Amino acid sequence: MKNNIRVERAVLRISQQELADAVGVSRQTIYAIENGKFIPSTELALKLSAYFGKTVNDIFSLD
Amino acid sequence: MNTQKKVFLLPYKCQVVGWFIAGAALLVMIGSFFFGLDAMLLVRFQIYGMLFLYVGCFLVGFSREKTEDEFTLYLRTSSALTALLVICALRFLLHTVLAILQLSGPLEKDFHDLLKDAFDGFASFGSVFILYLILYKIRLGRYNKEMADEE
Repeated sequence: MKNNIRVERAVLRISQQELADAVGVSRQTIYAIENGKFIPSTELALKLSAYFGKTVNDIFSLD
Repeated sequence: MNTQKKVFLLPYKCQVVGWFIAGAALLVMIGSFFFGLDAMLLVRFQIYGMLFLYVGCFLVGFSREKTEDEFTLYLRTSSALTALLVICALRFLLHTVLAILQLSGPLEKDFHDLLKDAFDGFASFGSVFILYLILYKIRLGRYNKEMADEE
């Protein structure tokens, strides 16, 4: 599964730690998701999408 | 995350205490060899050292991280599964060796004792826990290192 969290983060100019704090996870989790090493739960995917003000499909897509 | 509320783990402070107990126990166990203690006292030191080492490792292995979330839970479960797989495979291998050797007649006592020690030692249930702890901490540390390198 691909995602463009890194791009969205760059647009908002926020760090991994700031995003992690905003959605209530650790920085390792954000790093692992960005690098495709961990697929988040539906709940976390929804939280991330809501934070960026987009739909889940805008942030996550299948390879 | 809500998923974390279903998993029972000790508070983060227990992990700090656990590292301290495990470190102290290891130091005492290693140090006791150099103190010139008599055999009886040395065995006692080793037994109590092992007990405290297990207590320390238990606290480290089953305490929350500073931020416990679904990723740490994923690392915990995958490490536990790998540890269980490795130890089960090891036990299976030892059983197979034992069965093959039994076919060629009764085993010598020393060799039989060696195999029994292997079952009780590195292929025991305790080893699953120790291996889980090692794998989990290595994986978590690797992610921390990768993140630091990326900065």
